[in-house]
Amino acid sequence: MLDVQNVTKFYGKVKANDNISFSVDDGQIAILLGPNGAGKSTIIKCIAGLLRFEGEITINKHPNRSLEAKAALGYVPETPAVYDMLTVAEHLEFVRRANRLEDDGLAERLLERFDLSNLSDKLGKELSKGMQQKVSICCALLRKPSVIIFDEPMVGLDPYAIKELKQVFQELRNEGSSVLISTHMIDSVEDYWDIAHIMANGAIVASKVNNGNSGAPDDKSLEELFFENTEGVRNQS
Amino acid sequence: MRALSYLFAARWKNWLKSLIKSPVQLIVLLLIVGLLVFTILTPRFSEPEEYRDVSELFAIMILLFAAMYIMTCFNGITRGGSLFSMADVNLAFVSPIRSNKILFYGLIQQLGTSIMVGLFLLYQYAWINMTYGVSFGFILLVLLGYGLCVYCGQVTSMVIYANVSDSLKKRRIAKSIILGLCAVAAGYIAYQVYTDSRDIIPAAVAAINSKVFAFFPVAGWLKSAIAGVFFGNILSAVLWGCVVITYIVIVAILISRTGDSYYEDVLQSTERTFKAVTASKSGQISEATPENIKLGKLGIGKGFGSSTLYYKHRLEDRRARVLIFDTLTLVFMGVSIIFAFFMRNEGIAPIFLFSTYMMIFSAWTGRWVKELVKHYIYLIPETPFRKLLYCIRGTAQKIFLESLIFYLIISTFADVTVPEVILAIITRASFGLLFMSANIFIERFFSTVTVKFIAVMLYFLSMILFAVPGIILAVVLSITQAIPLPENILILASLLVCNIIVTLVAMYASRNMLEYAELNN
Repeated sequence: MLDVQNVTKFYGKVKANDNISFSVDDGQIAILLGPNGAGKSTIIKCIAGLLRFEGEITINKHPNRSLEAKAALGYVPETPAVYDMLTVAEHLEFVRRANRLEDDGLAERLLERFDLSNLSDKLGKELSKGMQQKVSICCALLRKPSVIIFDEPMVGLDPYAIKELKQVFQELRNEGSSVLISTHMIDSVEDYWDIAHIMANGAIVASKVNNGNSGAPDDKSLEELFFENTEGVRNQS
Repeated sequence: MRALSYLFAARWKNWLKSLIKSPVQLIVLLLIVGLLVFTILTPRFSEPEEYRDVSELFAIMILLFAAMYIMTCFNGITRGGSLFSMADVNLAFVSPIRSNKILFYGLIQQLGTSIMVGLFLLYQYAWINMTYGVSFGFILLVLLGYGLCVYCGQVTSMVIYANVSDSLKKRRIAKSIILGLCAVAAGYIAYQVYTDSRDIIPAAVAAINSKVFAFFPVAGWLKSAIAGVFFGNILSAVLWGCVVITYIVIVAILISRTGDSYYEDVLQSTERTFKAVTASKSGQISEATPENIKLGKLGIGKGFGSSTLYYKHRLEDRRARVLIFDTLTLVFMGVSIIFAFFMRNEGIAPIFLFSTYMMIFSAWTGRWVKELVKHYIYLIPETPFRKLLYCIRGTAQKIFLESLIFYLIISTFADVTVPEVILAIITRASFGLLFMSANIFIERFFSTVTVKFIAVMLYFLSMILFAVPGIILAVVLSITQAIPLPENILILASLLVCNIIVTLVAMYASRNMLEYAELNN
């Protein structure tokens, strides 16, 4: 379970996140929606323990910078970061060894699943951005995390990989993992989310639980809710 | 042209504005200027000594210029050169402005950048003045020459690339011509040294300063122009200056003759530069990797937990064909060995001083620095200090090995004793660790400084400040003679003790560096 309470983050004088609170239960897929500059990536990096912040973030009830939290967390960054001098397979070996995991064949299965098996001996610097993103996703999944956060995971992926990734999201939910996905592409998440938080100007401005289409006249679609809550903020800024 | 002049002025104006808006940048800039003033004033506090022959300085200058020019041209064969930013390519190239005007804009812009690249030369004033007795005006002249040399190299590389990029055979021929030129120059020096009855060094200096060498492209011309100003031979200065200007004009004409097609030639190199700059701005460090990498044995193979970092670094080093040292370290070690050869009869002190000084410029090249800008290390579920130790292990080993090899080599020809060599190995290694800890300290406490120039200057400042306690102790003990030991041993030992203490304190202060990243990507 992921719990974010009253998180505020400043970059110098700029407030990137303003008193953000939300949680993602076990077996739940939460999405962070928002226009560019809304503060989605900042809160994701705060959760990953990459940024200093005010407030509290816990992963499975452990502070996010504790070793227990790090062991439970998977993180797919917005910009895929791969090592120039390591092959695809060696990236997974590095993550496995660094996290003290035994070789149970999961690395090979992930490479197969994301169509990387024939590229396993390719160096990081030789990969396209989409391929690098796939490696990044495999590295995060290899850790078998109970909480996993994705920052704009679809960017750069081909339709086959997007389809596979959506399948992975569902599997992670079924296995009881807490999944948080940040995106600005509403279409890409329309069919599998459980709870959505809409962000603008560093704050969560609306939340919606996915109850399917209730048919009620006031039941707005995610897209309608998004524009209703972000256009006004955008015009103000 | 009005659009381009507006662009040029707006860029400078916005840079100055950003400086005023950021007090940290301004303070660091003032510190940098302060350090420069200190460097300029330092020679005033020392007693005038007997200066070395200034022709040595001219020989060093021509070698530096030649190396820069040749390397830039050589690079141009495979990678091309570019005077433009990605914004220029996307906005100016497609706008209705004549390509020649855009080229002129690029040339002017690049001239400023080339001179900025050589600013490090100004900080060499203290030792150059104390050794050769030259003025600060002379160093400014050398800076101008260096900037022009780099500039000529860059525009030449554009021309070379435009003419050879389409054929492997042409590339080979171009490479052969450049290497042939170097071989002829080296052969000329070797022949002169062989036939000269004097010692090797004065003979080599005389050969490099000879009239024949004045014709060496760009480097020889610039050196001759600077020498003309220095010795008051205005005719020579003007003549060689005109040769350089004519060369630049001819190269510019050659580029412009390719018409709009030079856009295509610079596009690839501009994109490459843009990628590197973007990666750098977003906190990533791009590695200068060989074009064809031999994978060799696959797999990291060893390590569990934090120790995996160390074995991964070994694998990456092997792939980068670094085996033991990176190219920059090898270059600086080579320069230090040459210096030691010059000073072989002067004892351990000048050799130690110079080799340690050169280490400042290679100390920030460890693989651990590259590790900090990726998220993986922060997510490893182990204590930050343990991760830090394994992350720097490889670099620390290299530092010791570098010191050992350097002093073993120089002990074969220099006038040094065995205890001096042993102590120098350990003390120089301690300086390496000290500089590395200074880097770590800056990463820990100033990682939010994203302006590259400021960050680099902070590195240099911290290294100097960290070395100060040892230098003070060494000076005090040397003057007071409080401990009855030979002076060189006393100085090296006091530096060693202080370095270890400062390194440990800095490492302790930075022990949680890997807890937060403050990554910008």
